[in-house]
Amino acid sequence: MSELNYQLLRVNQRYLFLREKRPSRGWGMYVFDPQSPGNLLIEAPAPLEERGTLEAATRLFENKHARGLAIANARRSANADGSADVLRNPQSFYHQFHRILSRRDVLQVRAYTAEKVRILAGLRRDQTQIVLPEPESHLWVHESLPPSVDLNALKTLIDTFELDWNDAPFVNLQRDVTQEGFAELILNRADLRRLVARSLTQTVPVTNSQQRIDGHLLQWLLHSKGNIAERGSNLYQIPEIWELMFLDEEVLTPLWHIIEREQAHKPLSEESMAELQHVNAAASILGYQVLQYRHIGSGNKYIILAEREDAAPRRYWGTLIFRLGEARDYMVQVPRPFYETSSFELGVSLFERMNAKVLLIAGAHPLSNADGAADVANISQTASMFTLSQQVILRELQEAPLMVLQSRAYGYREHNTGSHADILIALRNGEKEPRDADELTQYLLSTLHEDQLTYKLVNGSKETAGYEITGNPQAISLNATRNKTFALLWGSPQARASFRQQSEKRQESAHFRVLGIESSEADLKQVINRQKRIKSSSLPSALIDKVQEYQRDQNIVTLRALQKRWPRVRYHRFIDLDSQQSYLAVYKSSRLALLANLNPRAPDTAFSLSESTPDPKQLRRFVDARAALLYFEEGA
Amino acid sequence: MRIVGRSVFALLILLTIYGVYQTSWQFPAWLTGSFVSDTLIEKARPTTVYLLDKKQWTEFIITTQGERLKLLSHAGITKSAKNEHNKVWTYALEYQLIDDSGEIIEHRTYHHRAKLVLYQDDLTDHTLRHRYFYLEDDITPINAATFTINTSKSIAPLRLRLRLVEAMEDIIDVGVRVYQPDPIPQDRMGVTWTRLSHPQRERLARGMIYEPEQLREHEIQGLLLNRFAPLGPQGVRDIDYQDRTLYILTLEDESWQEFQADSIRPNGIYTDDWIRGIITTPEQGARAKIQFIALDRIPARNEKIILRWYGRNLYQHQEEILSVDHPEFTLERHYQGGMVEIITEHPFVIQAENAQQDDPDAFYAGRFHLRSFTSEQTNLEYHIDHLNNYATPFRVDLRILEPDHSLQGTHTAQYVHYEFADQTGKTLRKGQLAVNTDWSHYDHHSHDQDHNRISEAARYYFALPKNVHSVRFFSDAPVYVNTYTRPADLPRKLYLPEHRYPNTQRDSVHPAWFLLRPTHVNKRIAADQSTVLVIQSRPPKRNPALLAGQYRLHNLYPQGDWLSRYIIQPRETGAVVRDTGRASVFRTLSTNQSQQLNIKSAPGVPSVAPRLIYIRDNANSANFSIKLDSTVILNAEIVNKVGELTLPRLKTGVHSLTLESPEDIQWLINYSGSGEKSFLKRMVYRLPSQGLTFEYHKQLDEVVLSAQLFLSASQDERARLAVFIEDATRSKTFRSPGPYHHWTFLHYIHDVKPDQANLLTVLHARGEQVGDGQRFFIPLGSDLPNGKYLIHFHPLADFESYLSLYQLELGTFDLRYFFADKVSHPHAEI
Repeated sequence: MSELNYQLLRVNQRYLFLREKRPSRGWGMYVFDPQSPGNLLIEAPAPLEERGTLEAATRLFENKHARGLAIANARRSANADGSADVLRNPQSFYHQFHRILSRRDVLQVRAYTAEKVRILAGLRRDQTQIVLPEPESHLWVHESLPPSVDLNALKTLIDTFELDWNDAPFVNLQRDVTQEGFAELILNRADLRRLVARSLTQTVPVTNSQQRIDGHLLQWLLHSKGNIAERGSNLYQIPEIWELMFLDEEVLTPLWHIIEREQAHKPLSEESMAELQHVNAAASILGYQVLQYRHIGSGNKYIILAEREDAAPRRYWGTLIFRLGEARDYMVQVPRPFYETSSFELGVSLFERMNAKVLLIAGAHPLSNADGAADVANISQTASMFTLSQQVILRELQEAPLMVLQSRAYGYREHNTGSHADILIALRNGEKEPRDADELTQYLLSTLHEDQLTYKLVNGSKETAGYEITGNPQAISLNATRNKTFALLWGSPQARASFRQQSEKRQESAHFRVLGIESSEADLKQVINRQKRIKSSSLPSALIDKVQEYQRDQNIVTLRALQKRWPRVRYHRFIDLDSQQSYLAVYKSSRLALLANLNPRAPDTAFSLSESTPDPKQLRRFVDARAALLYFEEGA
Repeated sequence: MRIVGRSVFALLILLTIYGVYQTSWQFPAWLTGSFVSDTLIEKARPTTVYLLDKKQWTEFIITTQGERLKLLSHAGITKSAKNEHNKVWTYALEYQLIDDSGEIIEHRTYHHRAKLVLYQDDLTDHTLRHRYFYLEDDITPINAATFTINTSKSIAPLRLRLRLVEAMEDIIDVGVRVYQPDPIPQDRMGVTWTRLSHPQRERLARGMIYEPEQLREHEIQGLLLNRFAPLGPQGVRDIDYQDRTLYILTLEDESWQEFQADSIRPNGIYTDDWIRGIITTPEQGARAKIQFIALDRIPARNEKIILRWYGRNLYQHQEEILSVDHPEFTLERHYQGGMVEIITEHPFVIQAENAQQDDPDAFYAGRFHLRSFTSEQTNLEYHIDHLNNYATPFRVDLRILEPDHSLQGTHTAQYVHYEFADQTGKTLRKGQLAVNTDWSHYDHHSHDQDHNRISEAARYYFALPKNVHSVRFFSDAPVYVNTYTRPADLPRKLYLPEHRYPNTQRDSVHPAWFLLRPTHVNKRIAADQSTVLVIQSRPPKRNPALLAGQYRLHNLYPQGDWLSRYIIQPRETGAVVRDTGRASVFRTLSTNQSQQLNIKSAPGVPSVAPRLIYIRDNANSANFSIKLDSTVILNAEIVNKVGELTLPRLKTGVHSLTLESPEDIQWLINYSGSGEKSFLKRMVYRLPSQGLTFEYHKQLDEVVLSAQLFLSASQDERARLAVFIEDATRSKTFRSPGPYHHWTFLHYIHDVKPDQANLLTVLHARGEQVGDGQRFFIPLGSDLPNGKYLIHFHPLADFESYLSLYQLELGTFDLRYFFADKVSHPHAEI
């Protein structure tokens, strides 16, 4: 066997798997099931030209408990003399396998190609057509039906197909040497997907949650110790190019097409659901899963492609979140989630605030591997799922516009004027003045302004020197696109501190626990709407000063002083489910009188709500701006 | 499981076929062999840069229409400066963009920062190289700085004028490359693409994951539309401009990595010949899987690693020495609750995980990261808040970095100056605090690259008066400062026994002290005025005097009416029997067989009267007899569950004793050493609902009182016990502002878990039983002046319990005995 460049593996303690050693000569691969009750042989003679037949053949092999599976693994046209074409060459290893194992019970799995469509249906690709129209699936029977092929059972896998008791009008050596019991199943794309999806029992789980996606993601990160490969852990698996190709063809591209056609407020169509199951099955091969997430309050739906926590081995390639339905033309990226502190929180906040289409999060600390291979923002590490995902989505968008926002962090630099801006923005198109920026950039700037984040474009000034876009693989790959823009958003330490997850702070929660002040997670909207409120002016101004002092210094003695000086006032700490920000709620006479953000972006910022009818938009602005105080006023 | 099985199976097939499908993934040939300097030129890509003058403009004509221009510049530095690899070089260019009518449409000075980065070729000989070079050996071009000029709203032709505005010393010149858009017209795209060589296509498709041939048609169109072409300046060479050939080594292959002087350290606990690692084990014990990874080396022969386990008391201790023969190895050990100290001779990273439970952090609870702020010339200021009339507790920890003796002129701070300021900023008081120069075996920087040791914290406490509004620190060299406070009226709450195990209830622990943030905390972090330290729990100090039994215990007696009992408590295995403690230490006696007893007493005491204790489950009548040295000395009947009797005085030395008794009775005897299993007869006080008060006369700077609470055997809920310490003279101002080396908590709440697994017998109490005692300590530090103190113990709910309180005093002490000249007769107290 070794002399033939083959190795024999035992798979799943059942199957014998005959595989070529590297380098492969393209002689095919073969599976034999000694426990099979029948004689059926499944063949896929052209999987490289007929995409999807490999998956369909393997599914049928398992579904039908077949005895053998033969798969060609070279292009039929690989050799000029035609020797690689197993459908023509009688000297091929593949054909010999067929001759030995064939017991007049053979099913060949094929798919339509442009040539087959032309011959069978007389159709050609129009220059404007991206997808070739295909006829119905077809079962061509040579002399007699293979005994193991049950037509009714086949109909449960693909709804309809045409049965033809003649030979297909294509060259087929295996058919010609088989007296009877030979069939060619030629599947169209939809049936290929159906067959694979229906032969699996996997479903795509749906999570319905009261929590908005940003809150869900922030909590996921908080509890994700182990979900992101840590610094120095060496856990990040460098993807092989064929793994990325598989991910592209079988997972990302079909997933993107589902996302593009589905609406947020309608249930997924049967076709999309079937495709989603197909994608999920394909993703599971690489330890990934497709999840649906639905925010109950808004009805917003998301599709999440994430690695399974129980995957073995874990790859730590990252996570993608797609927004279904109406979304703005932005993709938010977080290439260094732990390394660049709070860049994850900034990215998640941008995704939700900008109503972006996609959020892309790297799965490993850039220094998780000793050789630096996990740093997806390094030009030397182009081959990553992170970069692939961007390239696939931008490719599939073709000429449609999209702006890529990459969330990064800047810190202290020796001998340099520090910037006072919360966010430095480097634009790939070289724009240096906000007034000249394009529409997508203008919307980004206005959102930052609304959230009370100051910004500065990287414009050659001393304070922005060195923050240009250089050697960034995601930015460089925009060269192969049209109408796409790219921006690096460098968060300052101060701005990032305001994004720091509140529940992460053990000190803060210890203050409240030790002083016996209750803490709970809740939807801030509901807290305000469901509780009786009282005007903030009923509180002593000294109390509000003290609250602000606690916001500034986070000194437990100040919190204790609030309890001691105003014993009739009640306090409660809320962690907002959506934003994961924590708030001190101040109650007077059992009525909510004031809300204070415990980690405000700017200490002097305040919003007011009507005590009687609070405006939800104003509340949202208060939360998004991470403002310090929320007052209740009469008719505010 | 079936799905998983399918997936594995399908993966094998699918990955194989995708592997065959992708065949042209090969490294460039020149990278696979090592090259020498004379071949370097052949491997590099030459390009022309144009040197900018400080006065004269260098002018480029932009002829094509597009979104942007790309400019790359390289500062050339002197030969002597090129070894400064971490240095950031700064310079600025001035540019003007002028339209066809001569109007300046953009004029700007552009500042750049760039470094000279070293790269390492992993495929060849790991040689370190710069990416760019000139043939002129005296000038080294540093890494490129780039910027783009948006020209989407301008109409070509345009003129771009460039000149150098400023540059750091050691920058000899600055060369630029200018690129203008070079889009291929739609109708020529097919031809152009076909004519491009594979390397040209690869360069065009830089950043793309797939080979150029595998890209979609519209992606290729995008690449051809977004093409750029280099531009040369206007004028005559050497008159209007100067140029030079720059050589560039491509970095697109994975084998080129930016060189990092220190490799990335694996995640885990770092140890070396100085730093020790600590892993903590939970109360119930755990099976630990410990992986050792030698850092960047093969361990030498005879290299050793020491593992020291410390249990819940002084006597629970084990040491294991491992011989290291592999750079990576894993071992599994079962440890009881406590902590393990790991000592290595060379750098290791240790990863510990619980072999049985799915708690990845179980062994890391004794480690945490602490952000420490730097005090130097600028004030490090902390706001202070107060509660009514209380003085506010304040703690400061000071650490310094070990000086680098290889660098001359490095200075280490000896002191930190502090100031108390009032609300107006006026200084109320000032002083200085000495730092510690004992380098820590346990605490270190969190950065991989920082190998300097840090000192053990010098810790000081203050009781800040109400008029202190802020505390400021400054020093003449960097000192890492952390400050803490706590509400003055807040009791110190401890959960027992969880408090002894960092693993349990990590999120419900009540800290003793709460970190304070300095003013402008985020700005200080942004300005690099802080560092993150790894702080580890310390193993208990094994006091040799204590281990040798060189101490004495002072029982403290409550005030007023009180009721005491004796309880029989298992003794800590390994504890030495002190001469003065022989009367309290009992060992088990075998029944119905002769046994040798070595009766011992204090030195100089010729005889003792041992006492016997019996314990059983019932109170039925039972006979027993004791034969001592062939003479029956007692023949009697017992009718209680528990009882005690005294034997006649015996001379010290070996005696033979036979105890005839039913097997279900446990017999204990004192003055006979500890044996395999021994017990302590301890006097305890019943804790009434109104509590107990003890008076203690403090005569030393620091004393630690030990207490044990024994909850009734029927108590199955946690019990809360308050402890108050009060100056017996009732003076309220007994603590001045400080600084102090200790801080005494004056109010505790102990939240005690009943220990019903080990029930103890209460003597002379009709078979009453209590749970094993939960020990806690009451330190009285130097912040309390010597004198008399009242210590109150108050149960916070109605529960039955006993309490013991004593002071342990270390040292050797003279003993005096008084003898009554009287011959004792055997009698039984049954």
